[in-house]
Amino acid sequence: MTKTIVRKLAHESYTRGVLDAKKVERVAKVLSKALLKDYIKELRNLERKNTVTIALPNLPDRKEQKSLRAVFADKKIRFVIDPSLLLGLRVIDGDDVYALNLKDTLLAVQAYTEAYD
Amino acid sequence: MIDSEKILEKLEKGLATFEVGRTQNVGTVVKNTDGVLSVSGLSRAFMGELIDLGGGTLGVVLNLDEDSVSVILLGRGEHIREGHTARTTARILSINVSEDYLGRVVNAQGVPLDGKAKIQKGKDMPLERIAAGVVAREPVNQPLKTGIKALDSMIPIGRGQRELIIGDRGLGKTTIAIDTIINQRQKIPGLREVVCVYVAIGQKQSTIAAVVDRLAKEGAFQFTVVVAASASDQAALWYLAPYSGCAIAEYFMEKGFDVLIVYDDLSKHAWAYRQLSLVLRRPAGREAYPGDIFYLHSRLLERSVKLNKRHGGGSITALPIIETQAGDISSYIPTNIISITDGQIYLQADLFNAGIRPAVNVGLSVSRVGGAAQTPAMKSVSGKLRLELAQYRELAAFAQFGSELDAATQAFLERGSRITEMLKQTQYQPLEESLQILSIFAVTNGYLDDVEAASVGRFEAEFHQYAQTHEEKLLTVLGSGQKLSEETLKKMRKVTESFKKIFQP
Repeated sequence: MTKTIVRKLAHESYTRGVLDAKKVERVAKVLSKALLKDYIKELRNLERKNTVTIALPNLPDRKEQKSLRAVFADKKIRFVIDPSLLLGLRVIDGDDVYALNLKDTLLAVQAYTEAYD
Repeated sequence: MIDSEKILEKLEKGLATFEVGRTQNVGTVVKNTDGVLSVSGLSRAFMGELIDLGGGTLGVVLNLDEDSVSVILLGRGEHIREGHTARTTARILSINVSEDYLGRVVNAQGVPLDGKAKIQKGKDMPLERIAAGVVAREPVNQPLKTGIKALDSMIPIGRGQRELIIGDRGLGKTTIAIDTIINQRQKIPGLREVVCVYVAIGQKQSTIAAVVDRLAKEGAFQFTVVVAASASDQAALWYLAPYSGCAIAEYFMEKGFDVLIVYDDLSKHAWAYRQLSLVLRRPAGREAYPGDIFYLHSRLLERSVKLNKRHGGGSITALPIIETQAGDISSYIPTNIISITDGQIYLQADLFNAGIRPAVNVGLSVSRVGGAAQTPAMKSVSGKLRLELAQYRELAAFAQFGSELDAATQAFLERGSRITEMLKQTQYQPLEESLQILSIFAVTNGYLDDVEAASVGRFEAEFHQYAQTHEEKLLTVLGSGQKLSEETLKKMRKVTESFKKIFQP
C-alpha cells in the first residue's frame, strides 16, 4: 500500500463533508503503524483545509456569525476569542491568514519602520 | 536631548511607502536538518521567495513539493523547532546596495562585518537576475590591466571578460587576483575607473583579514567591496555569496562603472551547493553533485558583461578561481567552468617549485578575447612572446645536453631563459604598462642576451628606475597605448642602449 492510496483513503473517509468515524475505524484497522501516521497526517491536513478559524476580540452576535458563515459557505467555521486583537478579526483559512485587525496592523507598522531605518 | 520633530519626520518619511499587507501565507516547521527546514503549508510560496521565521531569521525557498516546502536558513536556526510558524514575504532574495559599500566588508546578506558605521540604504538588487541579452552587449575591446607582465603580454584580459584562474592550492591564484585589484588604483586616461568586488567563499577569517589588510596597505581598499562567507558560516551563505557579489557589481555597473569581481573560490561554492542539494534530497549525479551544478555557475558567470553605450557602457569582468586536486583540470567542476569562461590562467606546481612565479603555464593558458583586449603598443612588443616561451619550455628538457646542441638552438634557449626570468614578478607589485612594454621590448630584441640570467631581475628594476628618471615623456607615450611609431621605437632602443652602457653586471 503506497502513500498515494493512503491519501485516497483519507479523502474517502468523509461522508457529506463530515469525517465518518466508522470509516476511519475500518481504515485504521488495516494500516500498518507507519501508514497510519501518514493517514492521520492526511486527515489533519484535510481538516485544516476544510476549517476556517476566525479570531475576534469579542464573541460575534448571530448576525455577524451568519454573514461570516455565508463568506465561507463550504467550510466549517471555528470562532476563537482573542482580546489582544483589539479591533477587527483574523481569519485563518488553511495556509492563508487574513490579518484584518488592529494588533497585526500595528505590528506590521512596527516591523516596517524598524526595517526602514 | 532627543528632537521629537526629527523623530516624527523620520517616521512619516518611513510610513509614506508603507502598505498594509492583509494576507499572509503561513506554514509550520516539520523538520530542521543541517540548516534546511521542511515546512508544511506555505501553499502560495514561490521558488526563491524569502520566508520570515520570526526573530529576524529569514530563509529562502529552494524546493517546492506537493505538501511541503524546503527552506534554507539564512541565519542562526537554533530557536526554530517543530511547530514553529513560517510566513511568506512575497519578496525574492535581494541585497540593498549603495555607494557606502566601497571600502567595507559585508556578508552575503549585506550586513557589515567590519564594525564600522552603518551602511546607508540604497537600491535593492536581486541576487538572481537574468543576464543582459545580446542586444545590450558589445564586444570586449578595452583592456583590464592586471599589472602582471606574464598576463598582460600573453593572456590579456578585457573588460567584460570571464577569465578563470585555476591551479592547485598554494600556487598564487589569490595573489594574481589581489594584484589585479591593486593595479586598478592606477587611473588610465580614456578608461573608466574600476570598482572591485572580492567574494571570499569558505575561506578562513584570518585569510580574509589578511587580504583586506593587504588591500588597505596598497591603497586599493577604498574602491573595493569584500563579500565574506567564511569557513564558519552556513552552507547557505557560501551558496549565496557569489550572487550577492554579482548583485553589488551590477549596481555599480548600472551607474556606469567598470567592475572587477573575483570569486574565490567556486570549488567551495560547488561543495556548498552539493551539501544543500543532498540535504534537500535532490537526486545526486556525477561526484554527488546535483544535476544543475553547471547552471549554478553558468547563470552566475553570464552576468559578467560589457554593455554597449546605449545601456550605460559599464562592464563586469569576472575572475573566477577554481582549486584543482593534483593538477587535474579535466575533472568535473574545472571542466564545467573552463567551458563557461572566456579563457583560463593555469598555474602549475612544477613551475612554482622551480621559482617561476607567477607560475603560469603559457601553453595551457589562454585568453579567448586575445589581442582585442590589448593596447596596440603592448600588442606590437608581445606578439611573438607567447609562442617563443612555449617553444622554449618544450626545448628546455634538452638543456642538459648543452654541448650537443647547435648554436642557434643554444641561443634560443638562452633567450628563453632570460624571457622566463624577466616574466617573474614579486607579489603585490603590479607594474605599469609602460614599464612592461620596455621590459618586453628589451628582452625580445636581444638586449639581455649578454646579461646573466640571474641578473635579469636586477637589470629590469634598475632599467625601470633609469627610464622613470630620464625618459618620462617616452613612458607617457608608451602608457597611452598608442601604436609604436618609428620615432618611439628609436627612443626605446636609445634608452635601452644608454642604460646597458652603465649597467654593472
